[in-house]
Amino acid sequence: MSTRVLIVDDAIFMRRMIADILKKEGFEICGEAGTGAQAVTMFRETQPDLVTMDIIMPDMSGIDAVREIIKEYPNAKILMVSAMGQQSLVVEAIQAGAKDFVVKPFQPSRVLESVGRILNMK
Amino acid sequence: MDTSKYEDLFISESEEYIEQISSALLDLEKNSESTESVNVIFRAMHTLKGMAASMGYIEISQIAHGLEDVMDMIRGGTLQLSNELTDLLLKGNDYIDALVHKKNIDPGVIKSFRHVLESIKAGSKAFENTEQSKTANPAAPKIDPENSFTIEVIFSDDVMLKSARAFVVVKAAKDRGVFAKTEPDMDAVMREEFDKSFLLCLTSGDSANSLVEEIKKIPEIKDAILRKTEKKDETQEEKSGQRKDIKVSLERLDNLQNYASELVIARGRLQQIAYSTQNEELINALNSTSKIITNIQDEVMKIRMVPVWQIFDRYPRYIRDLSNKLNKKIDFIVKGRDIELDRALLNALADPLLHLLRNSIDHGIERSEERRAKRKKETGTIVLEAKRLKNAIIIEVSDDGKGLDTERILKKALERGLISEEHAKNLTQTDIFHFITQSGFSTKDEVSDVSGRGVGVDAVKSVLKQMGGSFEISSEKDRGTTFTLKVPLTLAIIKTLQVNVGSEVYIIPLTHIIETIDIKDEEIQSIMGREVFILRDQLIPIIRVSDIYKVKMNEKKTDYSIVLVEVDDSQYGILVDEFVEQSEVVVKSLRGMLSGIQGLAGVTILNNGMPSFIVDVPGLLQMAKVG
Repeated sequence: MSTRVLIVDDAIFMRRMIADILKKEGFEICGEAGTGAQAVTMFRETQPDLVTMDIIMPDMSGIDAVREIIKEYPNAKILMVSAMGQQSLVVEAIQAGAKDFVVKPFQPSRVLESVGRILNMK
Repeated sequence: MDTSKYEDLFISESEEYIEQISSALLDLEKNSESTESVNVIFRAMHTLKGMAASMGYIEISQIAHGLEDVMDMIRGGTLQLSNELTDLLLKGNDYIDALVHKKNIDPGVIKSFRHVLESIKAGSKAFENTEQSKTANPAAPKIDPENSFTIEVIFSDDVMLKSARAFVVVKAAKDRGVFAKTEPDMDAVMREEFDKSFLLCLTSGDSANSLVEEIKKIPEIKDAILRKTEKKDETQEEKSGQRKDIKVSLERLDNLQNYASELVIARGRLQQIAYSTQNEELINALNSTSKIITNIQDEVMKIRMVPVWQIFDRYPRYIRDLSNKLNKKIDFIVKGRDIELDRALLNALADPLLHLLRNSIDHGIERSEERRAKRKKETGTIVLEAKRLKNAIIIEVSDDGKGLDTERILKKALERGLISEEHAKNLTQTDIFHFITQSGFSTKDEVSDVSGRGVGVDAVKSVLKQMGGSFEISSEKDRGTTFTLKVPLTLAIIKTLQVNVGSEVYIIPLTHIIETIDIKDEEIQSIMGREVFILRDQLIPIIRVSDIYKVKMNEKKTDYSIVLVEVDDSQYGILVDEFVEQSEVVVKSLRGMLSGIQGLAGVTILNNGMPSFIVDVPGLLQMAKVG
């Protein structure tokens, strides 16, 4: 069974880019969300193996979404995908339970490297 | 990555964000309190930044980044939204719109726009809320010296968000329960005050090997090297130290520096002879000698350079003690502590800086109650920052306290008869701040045993004048005060421009010069009795060196030269007969009878062996204003 990924980003453009990178490597995109609140709901519905999470989004930030998800699913594997310049937020997200981060703009290889590392974690 | 297939999506989605931004900006114009509108713009800019960067559109990404930062400052309350700022945001949004649609914009326009954004950011930097500096460092766990291990964590060259990456590493150690501390400490690591590696100290060696393996798997980590922490053996350390370094007395170093300086003067004299005799062979030989002399001079200068932390690190303790004594809550933040400065200069700055810091604690930062009443953060912030410019070092002491009381300063100045009522009406804020740099000037009614009276801001200014530097003050009521000290890189040799005024030669340090301009008689206009000229739509006041120093200019001439200088954010044109050349000169300080003369920073020996005065630019401008 292929690995199922939930992609969270307020820009459709970014979601498309990330989805393309992952699909090419055989991942299955089980859902896309554009706000933190949507992400939490969709996580419950789809129970993905991995989440890529933007930080700054309307409705609920990516960090709060990480907190909500980790509270219910402590083993959730979340990769933060954030633009340059918000490093204190990235640290906060890691503290909240995200496993790793990638900075936009990213090289596909860099995303895959982090994804691979996270999926191998126990 | 081939991004062309995302082009259409990028454009259509960008259009949505651009639309969101402009409508939120319009909302803001109607209701400037709307935090939701501010948030919408911030998020949209942030998203645009990330999208554009992913497409490789650097210009869009940079503009969006700048505007995002501005919005972030508005959100954080360190920047007030004004009509000008709204205009600026609308303009930025228009630029983004145009760039997204591949319309041509003059790169110069974009560049100057980004410059404006930078200056806004720099302007409110003093109030930056550095949350990170407060990350509490709980008592470090005990380290068993017999069983203690250190991992050197080395980052790859292209690491991004170094501090966040370091945090991931530290978390790996924390998760295993073996984290003791980092070197440099965690605060410094979070401020990215390390180069390519830092040390991770562990409480025990259990599972150290597997931790190393885990760290190596973390992206952007080049390597992790495990070491058993060795017991510090003082004697051994000293021995190995001796192999690399030797101690040299400062006196010898000074001598070496003097000889190097003399060599520079001698070179100048030789060059003058060589060029006037047009002797090719001599010129060639001299060119190669000249390079060697430059190298020697550089090396000697480097030997004298020390990082500013040697002085800066003395202050935190002092500030803590003093703020406790005065019952004030203060966050003290030091930035740029690795910037290097001539040892002699740094030592000379130690007391002035201490004085300015004392001033900020005593007079600047308010007590908690007062700050609460003003709806400010209860804890005040003082930032001490060193920055390197091309030919100078800037050291800033800024606080987010109550700011200077211009009315009070003005009242005092009137009382002391420093100015007339008439004159007082025309003073700018900067003019008023200048009074506190005058000898013995203090507005504090009772003498405080902290800042005292006597050694005042005037002393700071005179130290800087001796160095050929300058001292500026900017302040805003209830937002805070910033003292800016601009000092040359080194005391001994400075880069200058030589100018002629009549039969005299003056030396102007490059530290203050922005550009040089040729000007004709008819371009000089007179407005309200003051001479000015127009430069790129701006009126620039003209200052005639001949008037100030009472020397005769060349009378028959109709074209002159202007040295455009900037002090206190204002530009002035210093009018001289002609430029001679740019040169490096050796500064000799003025002693005895000459030492107190306003407008002169020192003296030097020209290539032809004649002495010449070095102009103290801020002093000269001050004289021009009074006169």
